[in-house]
Amino acid sequence: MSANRIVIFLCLLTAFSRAELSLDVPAIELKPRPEDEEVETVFKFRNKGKTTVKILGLESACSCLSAELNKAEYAPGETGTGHASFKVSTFVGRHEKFITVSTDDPKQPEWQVNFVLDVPAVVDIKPKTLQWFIGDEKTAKSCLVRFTGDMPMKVLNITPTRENVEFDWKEIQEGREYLITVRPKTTQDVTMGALKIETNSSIAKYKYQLAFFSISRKPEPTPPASAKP
Amino acid sequence: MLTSMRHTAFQVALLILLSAAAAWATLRWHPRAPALYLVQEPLREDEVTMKIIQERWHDDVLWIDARPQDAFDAGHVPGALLLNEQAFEQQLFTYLDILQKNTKPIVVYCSAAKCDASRRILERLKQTLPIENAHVLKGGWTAWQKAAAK
Repeated sequence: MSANRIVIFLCLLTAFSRAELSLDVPAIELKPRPEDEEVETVFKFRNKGKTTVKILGLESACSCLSAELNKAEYAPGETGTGHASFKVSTFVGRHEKFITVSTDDPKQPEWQVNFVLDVPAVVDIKPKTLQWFIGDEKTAKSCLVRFTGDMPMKVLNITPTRENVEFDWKEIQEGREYLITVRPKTTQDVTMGALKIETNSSIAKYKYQLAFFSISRKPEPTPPASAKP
Repeated sequence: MLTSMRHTAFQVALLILLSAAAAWATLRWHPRAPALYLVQEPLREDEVTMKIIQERWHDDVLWIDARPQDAFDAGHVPGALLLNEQAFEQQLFTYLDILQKNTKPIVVYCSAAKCDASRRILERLKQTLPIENAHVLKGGWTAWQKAAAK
């Protein structure tokens, strides 16, 4: 075999013998229950390449997500197992997070493992913020609190953080819907406040909910940050 | 065999040298020679750099740290408020007085250039409260540290 052929052969070998860690799914779905503080999962992946891959490290984009793999090296075709745990805390709804696995493979120095956390909403407040502008009429505005979980809940008490508002609340549908109506005493001062809504939820993180209200200046068009002042 | 390999190696070295010479000549004499520096990614509409913060606002801004609690505890911009996805509402609740009285520009940062938490927090903050003059720090905490080290 001539030297030229050896060089060509080595180039082709390099091009085709890539290692590749891969999941069978685009993302790992985590579906905790509303009361879960933490959710754990085991996931499988495979080295679909033709060389052994050495794991150099794992880094999570969020302190809420941690993961570990069962081995430090994966041979070609070998299936690996990972274990991930997610601290749910106050996350609600769908959140996409990922961990980055560093490898010794120059073709895949970083492998991103995607996770989708889908936490069912137990409380839905709409709108989340009641807003007035300076000088507006002191009209009453309302937000609807809906308890959408399996168990009905009750509003026990509501406390405003500002004295600049009057409010009342009533049950629309027992254990399911409450209407909170807020009216500012004056719209002359800039105000940012909240209503602390106490519920009878047995789950600690749903015991208190927040709705916000504000009185602000009418916004002016903002120039781009990169523009000169 | 050995002679042939040496010959090939010589050819490869020669080709590299010729390419380098051609590249140097292009850089030196070509009327539209490419510049040899990394192209700066343009600022997005909501972004500011440390240079802008220093020149325009003399560092007098309200900092919001969008990183997780442990990263904040390990080190943060002095005076920064911790406001992250993990406990957004509860944290925001405690800052209502500060935000109501605030007249400074607000700058939100996360870990580094690749993170997107600062943008998500800024969007959520604007959806919740009538916040104006609020921006994302390009380069995040890393950029602040570099500027502070100068």
